[in-house]
Amino acid sequence: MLRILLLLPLVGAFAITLLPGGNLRLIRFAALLASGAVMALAWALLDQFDPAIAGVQLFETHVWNPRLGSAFSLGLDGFSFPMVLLGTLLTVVTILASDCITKRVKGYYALILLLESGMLGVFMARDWSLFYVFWELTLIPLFFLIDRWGGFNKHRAALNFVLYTMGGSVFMLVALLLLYDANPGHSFDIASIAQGARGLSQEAQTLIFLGLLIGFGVKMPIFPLHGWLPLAYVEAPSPVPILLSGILAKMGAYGLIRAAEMLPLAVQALQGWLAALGMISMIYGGVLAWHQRDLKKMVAYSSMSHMGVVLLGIATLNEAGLTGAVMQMLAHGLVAGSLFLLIGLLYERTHTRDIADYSSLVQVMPRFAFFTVLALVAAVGFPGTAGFVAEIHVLIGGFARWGGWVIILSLSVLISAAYAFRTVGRLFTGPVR
Amino acid sequence: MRHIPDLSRAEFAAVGVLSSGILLVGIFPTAVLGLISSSVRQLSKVVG
Repeated sequence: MLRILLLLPLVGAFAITLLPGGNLRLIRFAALLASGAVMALAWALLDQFDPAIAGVQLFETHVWNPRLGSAFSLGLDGFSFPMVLLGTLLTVVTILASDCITKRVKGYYALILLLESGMLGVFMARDWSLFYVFWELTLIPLFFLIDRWGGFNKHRAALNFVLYTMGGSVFMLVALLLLYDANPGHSFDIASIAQGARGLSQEAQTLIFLGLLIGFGVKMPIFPLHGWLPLAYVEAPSPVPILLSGILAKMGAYGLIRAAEMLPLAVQALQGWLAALGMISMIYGGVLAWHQRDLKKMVAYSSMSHMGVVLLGIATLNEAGLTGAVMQMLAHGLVAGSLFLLIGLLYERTHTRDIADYSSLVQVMPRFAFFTVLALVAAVGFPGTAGFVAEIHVLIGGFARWGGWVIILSLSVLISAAYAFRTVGRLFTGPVR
Repeated sequence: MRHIPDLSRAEFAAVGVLSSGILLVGIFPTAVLGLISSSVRQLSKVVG
């Protein structure tokens, strides 16, 4: 079943390349049909997935390269399944929001579906070599999506993004090779590697974990690995940041959870550092978001702040904090997806992202105003929204671990509230221009 | 700014799905918490 889930977007992408290039409606319909089928299939797996089982489910494996010990192994657990559901949902939303793409439409939709296949592969892979292949595979469509359909600085943004991610991937690859070497079975199987890795000394585990942290930290992104973020998010075509922030950033956090599971001594040794990085990302990202006049940049930096909450949740190493981290991954996927979608729709109408250019939009776009306010209050972590559930769990987990130090999380929420309500005020109140 | 069109039906559907998700997870978090809790508990035992 998981193989079909992985192959269906590729089949859709191939079918799109065979369609006549002039028929935009048919191409869009085909893309929507393919992504809709993938989403339906993924959500249908809820029936087969047993939440009471902690381990991997729906496992399927095929020998890939026996000499290297790599296999085409797929499976789902409580960390990967919610991300698969979120990823398929956000792909449909991205395609629905892509009416603004009118040039080279076949290539655009084929690349979006290729990207979907890559990110599903990352979450479903049960073999590190397969994980790495899918991780790198996502770079190809993203590079072309930014480079060909992006804004004024698209070439620089695409190159910057790819170089940062590939730079991180080098560290990840070396770390994975060290883990492979430490595995007596010489296999890339995730469970087998984890077993071998737990036998390593704390120093060796820490060194390997740092390599993985750099690789995954670039993608999240966390401070100080966020240099690619503003340019890529701003220059990418309007619908693409929905996927970039909504699900691709989660690949980094997901990888970090897998690394923590594999290298427990390292994550315990680095616990304080991880918490510090999480807190710096939260505050620094929040302050940068607060200072932006460009709406897209504001949401981009707020994403960094929210991924800091994920890192803080992971760093607690307790059940409440880890629950908060996974919930924040899901909540941020929905919130950032909504915000980037709404800002993209506004930009396509007005061709400006400067917050100072807007006033009293509630009178001319009431539906837009309603959804934007909802997404912004959810970003702050308002009770009754997904963001609240995530932050309260991280707060509880953090308090259990560090006591009063988690007041920094409250400070981050305060900064989020400052820029969120400033945005609401600027966009929706004042005289109509 | 007086004549900016509001969300179309397709746009409304796209944003509506995500907003519903934000509210559903916020108001009824147990569905998602139930999905992740076993894996989280196992991880916290390994790393905690």
